[in-house]
Amino acid sequence: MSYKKDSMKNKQQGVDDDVKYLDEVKYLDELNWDIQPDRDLWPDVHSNIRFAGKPELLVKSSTLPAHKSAVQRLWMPMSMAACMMLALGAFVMSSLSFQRAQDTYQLQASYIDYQKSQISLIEQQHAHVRAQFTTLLSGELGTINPATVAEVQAVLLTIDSASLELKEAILAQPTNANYSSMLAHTYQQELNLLNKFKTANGMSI
Amino acid sequence: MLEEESQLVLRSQSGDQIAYEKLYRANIGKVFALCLRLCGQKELAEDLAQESFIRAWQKIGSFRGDSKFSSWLFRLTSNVVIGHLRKHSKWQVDSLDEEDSYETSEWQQTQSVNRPFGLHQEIDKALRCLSDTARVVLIMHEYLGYQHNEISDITGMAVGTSKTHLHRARKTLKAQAEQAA
Repeated sequence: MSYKKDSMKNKQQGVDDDVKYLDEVKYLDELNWDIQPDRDLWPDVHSNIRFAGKPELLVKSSTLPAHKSAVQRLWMPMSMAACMMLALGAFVMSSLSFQRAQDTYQLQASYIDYQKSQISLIEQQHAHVRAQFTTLLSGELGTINPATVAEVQAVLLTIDSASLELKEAILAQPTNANYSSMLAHTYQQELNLLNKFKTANGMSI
Repeated sequence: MLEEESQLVLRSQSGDQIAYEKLYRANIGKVFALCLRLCGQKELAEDLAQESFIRAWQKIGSFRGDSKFSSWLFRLTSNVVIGHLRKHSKWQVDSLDEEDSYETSEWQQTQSVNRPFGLHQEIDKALRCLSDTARVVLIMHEYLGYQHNEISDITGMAVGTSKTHLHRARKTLKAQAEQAA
């Protein structure tokens, strides 16, 4: 192994010595290095490059300081202008969408306020009717069938339970108009029931 | 008066084919001679010179102006010729132990009818006796002035192999010159 290495080293040393010696002899300088071909090659070269278009420019702008093309000279300001336009566009878009969200929020808030006032009004009316009926019923208890009274009270309890659930649903989704309508409808049903009961039992307000 | 080379290069880079023709006219003799010496055959040298100028047009955008245009063109031409030799002939990049690597190949023996004209006869004859690889290394080192590490980069052969090819090629040329003397 070592012998082989030494042999190779000596061989390379011999080559280097010979190269040093032969370096002084420049045979190739004797030759003519400017020879025109028999035929003009340009027509073939030209036909190949004619449809190739412009060569791809890969030179960095810093390497051609005095001869930059218009594109090379203007790319920085053009890029900056494009960036500014993009930033401005983004700002306008975000402002518009913020304004839209603000409007929507305000609309929702005013709608909720309206719904609350409507529900409050209905509840006041309902409380008034219910109190009136309770007073009337307590005065007529002796003349009305107790089973009928119990049945009416059970129905009123059911209506109260349904109203309570609807109020909770309205609190969870204040913008859902269906719940408000259902609550109003429930109170209207109760009112109709009480009126029928009063009429059937000859009660007068 | 010829336009300055750098102006012609810049115009060519922007797609000016008239400027490129001027560059072609100024360099075709040198490129053809290089191709002729590297491959040893006139018709093939014409094709390779033509291919070199087509390739140069495609790549002229990558010329940074750090060196002379002709140096850049010669390197590109060397690559074109070496690429051709790799594909079509015996191309040895491994280390050499046998002298027979320098025997004249069959291909070269059959090309006697295509000998280049107007060259120094004996040196030309000696060049023809070299293998493709040795001839390329000799020309790249002695004519184009490349160092062995550069030759290694371009040809893919080891630096030591390049040195060995050069050494033997020089010996062959020296022997031929002495014989002629």
